[in-house]
Amino acid sequence: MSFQSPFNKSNRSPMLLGQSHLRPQRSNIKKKAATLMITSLVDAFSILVIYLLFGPAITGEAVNPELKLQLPVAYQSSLADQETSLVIKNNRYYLQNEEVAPQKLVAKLKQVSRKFSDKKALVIIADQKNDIEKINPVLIAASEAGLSQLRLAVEHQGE
Amino acid sequence: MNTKAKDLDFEVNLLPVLSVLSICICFLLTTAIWSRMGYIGINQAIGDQMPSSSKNPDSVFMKVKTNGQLLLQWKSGEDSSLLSESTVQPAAGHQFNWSKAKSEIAKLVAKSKTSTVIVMPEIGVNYGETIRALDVLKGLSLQIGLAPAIKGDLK
Repeated sequence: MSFQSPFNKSNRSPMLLGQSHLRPQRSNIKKKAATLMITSLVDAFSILVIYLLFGPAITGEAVNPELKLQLPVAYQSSLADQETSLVIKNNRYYLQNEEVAPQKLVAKLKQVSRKFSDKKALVIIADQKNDIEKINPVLIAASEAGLSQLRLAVEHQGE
Repeated sequence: MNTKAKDLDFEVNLLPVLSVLSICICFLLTTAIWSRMGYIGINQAIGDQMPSSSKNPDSVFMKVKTNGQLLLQWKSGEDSSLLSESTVQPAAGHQFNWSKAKSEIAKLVAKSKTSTVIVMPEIGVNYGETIRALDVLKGLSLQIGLAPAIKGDLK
């Protein structure tokens, strides 16, 4: 009586090999190498990269992180376009990235309003924790400069 | 002949491209700015762009107070006399009760038949809260204006 080891190659094949009706396995069938279709994956990734690169430019202006302002949140807002902006930061006023003294706001706004087309308006960008008193000079100066259409920048939370 | 034919049928190895794109996506996802800037448009009642009209229309005011109260007033356009007034008391912790304010302002606007509401904040009121008031009014599809902040107790 000879002992047959289970690790012997001749004993490794299952007993029901080739008997299954679902996946009949035959020793003479060549094994197919599994191939992954990478081309379609590359296409999808490329589209994602393009969207992430140009998305904010298409879907609206992103909040400029350099301003370091926490804009108030609003749900009924519209998306902003590239427009003339007046930033209120640390009690200072910046019209188109140029600091303006509160006394000169009217004159500067008058200069800017001459360049406005019909659809353009002045966008006021301020931190949500600001006291409303800081907005007063801008509101008064805008009215003196003849600007009735104002836009208050918010963090867009709508659809 | 056979070897030449095999050389012509080559495949570009796309795995490195896939790796580069994956890194690009990870980088862009982590550095992307997801918050978008929007705006609330306001029509100021002062300035030379306003249309001239012979008779002043009635106006509705929403006065935002520092103690969390909201004063809603309907004033006559002819003599600025007070036609109706209601106060929205603050919610717990001096928080503005915006849901109550929304229903009250809707009632007042329906009664006064005006579509313009002017927000008048008191000095000391947060800019964020003023925007919240304007946002509530925008939700009611009203034309809104913002008056410069007033010092002292609003009446």
